[in-house]
Amino acid sequence: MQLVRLLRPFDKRRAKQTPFADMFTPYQGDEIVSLDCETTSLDPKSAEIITLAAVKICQQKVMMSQKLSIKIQPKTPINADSIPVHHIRNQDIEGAMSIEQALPLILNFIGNRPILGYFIKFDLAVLSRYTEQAYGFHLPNRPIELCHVYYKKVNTYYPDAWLDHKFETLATTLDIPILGRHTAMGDAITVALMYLQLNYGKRPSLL
Amino acid sequence: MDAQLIFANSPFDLLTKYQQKLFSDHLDIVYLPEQTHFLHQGQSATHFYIIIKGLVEEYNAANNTLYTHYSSQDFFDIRSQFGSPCKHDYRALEETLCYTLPTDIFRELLSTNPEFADYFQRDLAQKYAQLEAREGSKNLSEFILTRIDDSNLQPAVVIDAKMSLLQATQMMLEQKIETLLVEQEGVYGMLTGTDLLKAGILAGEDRNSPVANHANYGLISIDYGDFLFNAMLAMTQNRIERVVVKRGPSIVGIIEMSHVLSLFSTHSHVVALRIARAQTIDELKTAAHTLNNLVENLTNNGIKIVFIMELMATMNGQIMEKLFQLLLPKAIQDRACLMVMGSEGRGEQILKTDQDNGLIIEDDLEWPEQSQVLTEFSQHLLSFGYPPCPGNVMVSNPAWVKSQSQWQQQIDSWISRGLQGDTDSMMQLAIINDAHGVAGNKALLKPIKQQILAGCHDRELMLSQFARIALTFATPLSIFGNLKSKDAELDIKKGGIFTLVHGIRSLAIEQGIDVNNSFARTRKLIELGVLDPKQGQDLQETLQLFFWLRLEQHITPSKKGINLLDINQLTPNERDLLRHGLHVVKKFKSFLAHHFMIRDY
Repeated sequence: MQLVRLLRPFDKRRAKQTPFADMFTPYQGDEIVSLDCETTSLDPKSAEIITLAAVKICQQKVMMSQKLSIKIQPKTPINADSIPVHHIRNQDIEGAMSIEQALPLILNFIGNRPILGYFIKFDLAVLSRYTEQAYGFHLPNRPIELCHVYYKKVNTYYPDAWLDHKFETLATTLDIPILGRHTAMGDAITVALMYLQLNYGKRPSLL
Repeated sequence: MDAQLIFANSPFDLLTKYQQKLFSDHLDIVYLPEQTHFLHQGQSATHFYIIIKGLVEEYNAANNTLYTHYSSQDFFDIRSQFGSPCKHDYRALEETLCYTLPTDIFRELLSTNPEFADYFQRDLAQKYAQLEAREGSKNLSEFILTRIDDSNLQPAVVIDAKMSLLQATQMMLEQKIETLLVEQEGVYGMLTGTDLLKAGILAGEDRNSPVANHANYGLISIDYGDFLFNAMLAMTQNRIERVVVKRGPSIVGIIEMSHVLSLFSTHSHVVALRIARAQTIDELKTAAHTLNNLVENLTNNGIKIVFIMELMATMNGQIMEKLFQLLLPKAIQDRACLMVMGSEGRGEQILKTDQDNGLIIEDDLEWPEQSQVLTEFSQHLLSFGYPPCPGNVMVSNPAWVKSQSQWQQQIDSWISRGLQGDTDSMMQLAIINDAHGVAGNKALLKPIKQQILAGCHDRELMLSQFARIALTFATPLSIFGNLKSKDAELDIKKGGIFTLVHGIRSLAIEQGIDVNNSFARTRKLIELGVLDPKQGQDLQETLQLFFWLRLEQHITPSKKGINLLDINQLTPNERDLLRHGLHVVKKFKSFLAHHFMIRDY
């Protein structure tokens, strides 16, 4: 990731040849995008996206009415090990769009907004691998890692606490209903709600 | 709560697949930190809220009154969805997550889904908001709730009484209107084309003579802004074709029957016409049998129960009157008064239920065929589909056919026996107190009703005995403990309707209120300050709900008696409303006990 940042000027120049040059201008608005993918594996170098969901957060509102939810046909069949996790079988994504068709939709949706997620680096790494292949640049969006936000908020108060960063633990501590774990949309919304809670609500109690 | 989970619950389960998609496509989630004051009194609403998690309080920030709390799966603010500004303030008491749906979408769903709309209509607290919702007349329920305004008025053209017949005729032709208003020293009369024809051809008046003598002066009027439906009722009741519309003291226009008819798509007036035109008992019978279809039609179209009741009372009254005219000799008709009692007398009939009728005849009337004709009368009504009264309150029973002075004696004796605690006499008084004259010389009824009022009004002991009957039946709230039992059924008449109706009746007698309808009585009682407005409104809503439940169960084929509600057939939401309603009944009972100082309750 450090490397990506160093190469950004080159990315920006290459992006000028594509319709996505605007992604490299600094973001001024107050929206962020909560994003989540279900993938064929957990290796960022080879994982392929099966479903991707993104939803905008505007101030204190999760704009579910403006959301993106797409299914993508991976080049290789879904790994049998991951099917029990996300419940998406190979037959469920038959006839879905290809990643080449999906990328412009995704990029247009997120634009230059910061991207929020749970272990977001993984999702961004996978996405950047695709954009590198297709357009020659990595995603320049500022990542917002939910775990970091959580850590910052809780750690200042409980400096010595060992923090469990499991998704379910976060949701329970923050008292946020989980709206469908391991569906991309459900995770994206839950993450968005947790983010709002951390930003606007009371400090969660660990006791 | 997943968005999909919303649709598992009422009323959102009433939405179609397509509507559910529209709903979820426009849904957002808002996060409200603790103590956020997010809706302010007087602001106009932009969203409909459904709570996912958390607690929201509805209150008045100005004087810090608390109204209610909403928690998970509750929704608000329904009132302001219909264009009126928020009535109160809303704040999150704890951190709260809400789904928000834009108001436009919510309204669109209401207008495309009558059942869904109906839910909000019946929701006890929200009746008035619903009345304001008449935007765009897409379905029949909105159609029938149209109010009289400039769009459906015809202008009133006022002429001076001295104008000649010729000029008036020319004016009608020129302006292409059917009706003129004639002003004579501040009094208005109506002059129609037919009147001109009669004057010119039949009476052979000179064409230069003034119109003054040919206009009809007893004008029936209706207020600007009233329901169009009421205009139709007024015309149907008075058998006229036109009413004038007034705004304050001044006349602003005319409404014609033919015009209203073109607006209404129901057959109510068609049925009324058939009743009016029936020349034989058989024709009348056919008309009477179409009435039930009419009710079913109106109910399925989501017409409010009060309007249906008003319409049915009018129609049933006309059938009785017509039968009375067809059957009784003309000489008798003017000297006797047919009265209907019970629910019919109060105008709360939604179906053709029991015949509850009686006759008052003038003291010196000789009528040998009396019993034979009256028995025939009851039999005909039976063939029209009006079942006989179980208490035998019918004209075929000589006990309910009396001369004026006999009635007066009877009432005196009922009152004195009632005072000694005779429940039967009390019930008879209750029955005749709701009497309403439908045919014959209606003036005969008045002294009798006044006698009851005079006999009970201001006599505390009497009233207390009278009101006690309302407390006789237990409110069936406990039955909900074992809802699952298969033959769970609930007698809505004993459990709720009777208590409300009789309690309101007792209060009305106490206050000397001379109207019959329970809703009208309640409104009067609120005016007089006997009931506080909130309580009064609750009572009206509850009564409406009970009538509605009874009607609905009767229309969907069921083997049970009309008053038995099959609990299992009710939706969870209806059950909830019913429970709420029965609580209102319970509260009303303790109010009555306190008000009339009834012991041992």
